[in-house]
Amino acid sequence: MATIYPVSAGRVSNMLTHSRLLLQMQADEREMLRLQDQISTGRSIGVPSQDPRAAGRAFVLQRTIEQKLQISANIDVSLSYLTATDSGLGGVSSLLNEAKAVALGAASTVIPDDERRAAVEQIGSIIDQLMRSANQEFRDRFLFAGSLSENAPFLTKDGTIVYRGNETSLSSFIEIGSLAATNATGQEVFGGLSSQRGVAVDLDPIMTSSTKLSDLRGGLGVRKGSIEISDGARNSVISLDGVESVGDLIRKIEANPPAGRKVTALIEHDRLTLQLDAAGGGNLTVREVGSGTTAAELGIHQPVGVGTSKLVGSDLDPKVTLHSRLNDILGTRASARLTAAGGANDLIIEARSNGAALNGVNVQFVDDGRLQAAAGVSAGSEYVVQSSTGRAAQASLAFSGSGNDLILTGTALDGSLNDVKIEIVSGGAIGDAANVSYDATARTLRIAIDATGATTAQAVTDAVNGHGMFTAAPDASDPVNGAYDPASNISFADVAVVEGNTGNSGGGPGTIFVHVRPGATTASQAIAAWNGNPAVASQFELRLEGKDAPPSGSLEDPGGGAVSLLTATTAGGTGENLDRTSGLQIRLGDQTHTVDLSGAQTVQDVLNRINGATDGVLADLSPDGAGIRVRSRVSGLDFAIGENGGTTATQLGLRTFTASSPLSGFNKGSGVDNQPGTDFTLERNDGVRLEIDLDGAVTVQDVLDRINSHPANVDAGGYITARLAQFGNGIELVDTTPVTGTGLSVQKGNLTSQAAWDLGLVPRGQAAATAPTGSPAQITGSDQNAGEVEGAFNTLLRLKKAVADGSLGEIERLLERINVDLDQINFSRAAVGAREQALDLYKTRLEDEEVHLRSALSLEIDVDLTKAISDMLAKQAAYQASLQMTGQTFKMSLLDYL
Amino acid sequence: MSLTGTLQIAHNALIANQVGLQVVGNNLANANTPDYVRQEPVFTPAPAQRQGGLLLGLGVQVTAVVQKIDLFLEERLRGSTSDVSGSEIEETAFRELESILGELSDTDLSTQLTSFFNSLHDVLNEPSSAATRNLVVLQGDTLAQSIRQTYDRVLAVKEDFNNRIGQTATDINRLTSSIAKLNKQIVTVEGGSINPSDAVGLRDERLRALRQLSELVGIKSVEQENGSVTVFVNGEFLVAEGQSREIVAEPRNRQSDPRLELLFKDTNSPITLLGGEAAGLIAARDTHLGGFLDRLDTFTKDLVFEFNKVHAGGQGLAGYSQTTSEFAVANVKAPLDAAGLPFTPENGSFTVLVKNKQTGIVEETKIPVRLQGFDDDTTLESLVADLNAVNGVSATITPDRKLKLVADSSDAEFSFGPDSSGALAALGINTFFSGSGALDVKIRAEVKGNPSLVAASQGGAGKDTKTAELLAGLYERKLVSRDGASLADGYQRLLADVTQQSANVIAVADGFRTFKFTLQGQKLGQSGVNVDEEAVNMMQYQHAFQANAKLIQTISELLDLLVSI
Repeated sequence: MATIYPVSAGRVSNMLTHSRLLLQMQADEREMLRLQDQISTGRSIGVPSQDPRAAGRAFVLQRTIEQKLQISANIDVSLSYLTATDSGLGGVSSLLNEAKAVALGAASTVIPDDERRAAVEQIGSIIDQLMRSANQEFRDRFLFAGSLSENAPFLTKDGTIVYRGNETSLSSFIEIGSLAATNATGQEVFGGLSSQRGVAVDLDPIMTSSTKLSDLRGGLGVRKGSIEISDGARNSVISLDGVESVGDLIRKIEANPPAGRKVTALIEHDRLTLQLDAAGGGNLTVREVGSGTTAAELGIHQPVGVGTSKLVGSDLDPKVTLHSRLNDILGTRASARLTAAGGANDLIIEARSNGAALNGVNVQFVDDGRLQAAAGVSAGSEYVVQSSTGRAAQASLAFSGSGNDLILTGTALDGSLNDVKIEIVSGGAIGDAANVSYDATARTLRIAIDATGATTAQAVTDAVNGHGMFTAAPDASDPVNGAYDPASNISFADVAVVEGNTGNSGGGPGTIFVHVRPGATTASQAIAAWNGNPAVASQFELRLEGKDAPPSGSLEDPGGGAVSLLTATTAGGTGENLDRTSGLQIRLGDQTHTVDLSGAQTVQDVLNRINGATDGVLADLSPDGAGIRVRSRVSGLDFAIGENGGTTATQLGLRTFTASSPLSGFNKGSGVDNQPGTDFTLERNDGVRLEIDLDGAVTVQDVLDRINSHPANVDAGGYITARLAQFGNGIELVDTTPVTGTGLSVQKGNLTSQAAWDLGLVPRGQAAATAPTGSPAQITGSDQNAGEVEGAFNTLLRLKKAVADGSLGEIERLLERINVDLDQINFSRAAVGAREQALDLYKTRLEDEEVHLRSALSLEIDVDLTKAISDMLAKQAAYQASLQMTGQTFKMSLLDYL
Repeated sequence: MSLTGTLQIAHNALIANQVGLQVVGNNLANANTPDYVRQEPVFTPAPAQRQGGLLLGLGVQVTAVVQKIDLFLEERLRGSTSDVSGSEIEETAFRELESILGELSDTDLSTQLTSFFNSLHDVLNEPSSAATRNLVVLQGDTLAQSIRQTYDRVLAVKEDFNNRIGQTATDINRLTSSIAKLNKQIVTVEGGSINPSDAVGLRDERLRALRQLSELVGIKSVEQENGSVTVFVNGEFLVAEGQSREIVAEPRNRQSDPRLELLFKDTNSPITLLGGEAAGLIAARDTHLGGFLDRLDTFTKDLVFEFNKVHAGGQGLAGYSQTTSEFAVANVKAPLDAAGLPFTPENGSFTVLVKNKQTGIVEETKIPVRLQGFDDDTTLESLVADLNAVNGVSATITPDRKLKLVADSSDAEFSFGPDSSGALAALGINTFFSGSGALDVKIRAEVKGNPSLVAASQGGAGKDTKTAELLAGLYERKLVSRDGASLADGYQRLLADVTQQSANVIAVADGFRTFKFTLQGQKLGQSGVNVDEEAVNMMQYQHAFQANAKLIQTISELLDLLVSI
């Protein structure tokens, strides 16, 4: 870039001429060098600063081109996988059609044994060929193994085929920021897993402080915006940045209330609650910030306001995660909160098990010192009692003088006489007598004594007992006071001085009394006392509320605050506990695996126990986030989950044979036979026969009802109970009455109906099933509602067996299945083809794009050769002229002419 | 009036014209001497002589020989020289920087960055291949090395510039003492203001010294009546009469900050530099090179932390039987975000996965990282306690305050799941990059030795490629933690700023150069020797000499006539 220097208007000196010419020559040479450089490198800019704007654009273009080259390689690789998948699936449908033809041949007529064997062989070889397709490996990747692409997905094991792959797709980037799957899983194509069976149960975990915001709303989560909390005058904006769990949110809200206010945030039964401190008044509102939806998603959007009362949010329905505790599912625990003035002393009582049974239990803190004349418990020696029968209210009257202390005990075993004050008043000159009266308004029992001190302890006792509300008894607890002396006088000085109070000492059955020393006993000591009573501690946990921090600046321990004489009643318990003691049974073909859940703490433990029990099943969280599911990996075997003597499988929604199982699903969809009239007959221990007609029965429960409510089964002579098997699956019949006939049996007899077989009550092919000897008499039917893997391998394995067994009905069913499998394979193949096509399209587009990008880059940084060369020529001419001028200018001098 | 008087006039004229010719000769001789200032004799008529009623002139006399110089122009030229030399230094710094970066080529850092992230695409293409993971490690290593090299090379340039500041001080001292010496000589030779002639030669020399000084540092110079110049730097005098103040270059802090700065030796106070090489060196060192180093370091830090945050929450093809955190905390009882870690974790959680190698069953435990500014915020100690509650893993704090995790049995191995807190990355556990900036970024030795630890999976060791998907897209992803900018944006901005600043500095330098040449042109026009002009002068003196010689001849003839009477 040549610079033009102005020529000065004044004198010209030789040095000036010289330096200007030199400058000019240098500029020309520099310019020529630059052009030469451009022409030889092909670049118009050597270093970015020559044209920062163009260079800036070039940086982006270069990066994009580099990325697109990688994308192009990705597409090539992806295409190669998809092409291999496509061609691998090429022969599969013809294989299945071949199997169909073989089966049809074997099913149509009675065929000779050798032909049958040939057919079985043929199906076997089709299975082998299908295995080879399904276990195809390409570029170190098993194409149908999902993301577990290092191992062959289908494995032959004891005549079955196990799917070891998963349902996860492998993806590559086919555009910057856009992923596409490059595989089809074995499950998608061939079917490797059974579908979920049983009644899906919403395990409904409760919300705890560690529940993540992203797990709320059934897994939809909460967007991390901001909410605005206001007391009507001042507001505070709370951002959810850095907030992960509900506990984090609560702490953030409480730490950032509207200026000068206190907001209490709690989790109450899957809801958030917020409350302003009552003292400051105002109107609590929760609003969105901008056009956010965070407050609404948290269920606490409240633009109108609730004053200083509690804002109760909506149910936030957390989803089940691996970390959900088993204690926190299927119901809630009863709880109560003991909130006292002062810091570090709030307590929570929480039941140790779910359910409503522990609702309504009273917990009362009792001032032990008021119960007798002796000093009450000292701090550190508190104790807890739970009364099964109920306890009467009690108060001590410690009169001055000796041998006259009394204990007054209420006559009712409940809390009706709690908080009754007992006062000593003057009765005038009444001699050795006392008058007792009760003031219901003031809840005060007044004992009037002689004004001269003539009233004796015995007179007071008699008067109290005579009044009937309390009974008085001597109190010898205080050793200083000496032994009880009925004649001991009550000094008149005790009037208005000595008094008693029943406080919280009385309570109905089940009430838990915590005996404390007010002002001295700390929350931590109360907890220690609580845990000192194992019977109480096993029902309820008493713990610190946690947020009731000690007053600022104090270094007290978190439970160091003194407790108050509070009472609380537990509430909110619902649902039931998961049966963790019995476990469940998984049946795969003839093998039963028992899963023991004892000691399991979390949902993850349950899944691990199930997956650990057998590698034939896959237990995972159901995709809707409500519960868990267990699916079979084994093609060719029946699959069922039953109980192991308890209710675990049903509670977890895993049992495959339940009361609501439809009969139409029995026997792999063939259902249960139902003929007009009697379908099967039961004979009771006493010989009474029950004819069972299944007309109109839809579910297992209907069958059970038909038996249990049979008119002949509800008489006084005892009856058969039909129920679901306690171990495994099936219908179980129990008769507890003594055997007087031939014993309990189920008879298909000569009836045309095959219902007894189809329900599994009588082994197929037999006429009757009889209860084995033993008491009580019991017949457990077999499980005819087992599931299976729905896929080509299962169909073919079963077909092979059906052809070998000559079981025409099964062959017929499986021929239908093959069509479904064919559809699935063809559908998958079409999907792969469509993806291939899409990738082809992307590739073409990418090639075009690359051309555009390169030309754009070239425009920015490449040199225009024509221009550069002509510039060069022009420059050369100018330089030549400049040199000539220099020569001539320097040659001329006046001296030449002197 | 006498003939002898006239003879005397002619004699004087001859001498004057001889002086004229001598000045012409001197000018012609120095026609090509740089910094030479053209001279001019000053002719004045000699005082008149009263003779009777007449006042007769006594001819000519040369009263002085003066330099043709515009001192104001000189001063402006010196200012401009300072500007040019300062900005040329800055220009050099950027040229070096740009050549080190080598952008727009195929070997630049941006290509290395893209290649590294591209290598992760290959993991997605062939997840089970060990070779692709190895490639990620190799590309990562190349990237880390390139970043370190770039940093080191720029740092070397920066140090070189720093050393030159030391050299500048020596040069300034040499020039100021020479100016002080010349001041004394000029005053002596010119005899103060008594002698109207300029101390030619000495003044030229002083001019040259002043010009050289102005190249090093921006100065103001004022000529005093006695002919000496006083030189100021930002109002503080550097040279006065025969005195000069010594300047020293001292590091800002001998232990921690080796950056040299210029100080007056006598008062130990720093000099505020307003131009010249010294100011250019400091600007180039601190603002341009130092600024670039800081930004490269910040970018690297972002890259390392963002990448590690994702990587730490993923699993490789195998788990760990033991691992130790890379970074130590300063205080094991301090919350992790205030424990002196190079990266800052935030409130969140991560998961630890313990796998039984016999059964293949994985147990996942969530570890909360509480960092909300409350008393129970997670510290290294509490983290260790939480980790020890995990079945199958034991955590300890090493004597050098690092976190160590060991699997409880040889049948167990552990790995880590999604980390929303960044605590794993901040501590340096299950990370890909080690180091915390451009100076020390490397591939973590554990990963380098065992590329199967490159985390591609999110659902368990070797189970899927979800982490690789996140990592491959990381460079272009808009990050909430970086205010919605991607790492690519960050590097792009870094480059654009260097380029733009470089272009600006070059444009400014060009402007200064043009201005300087313009001033120089004016100066040369005024003070430079024009040979033709001198030839004209020469002829003029020659003719005057001839005429006076003729006068002498005439007088001589007249005297002869008188003698011969």
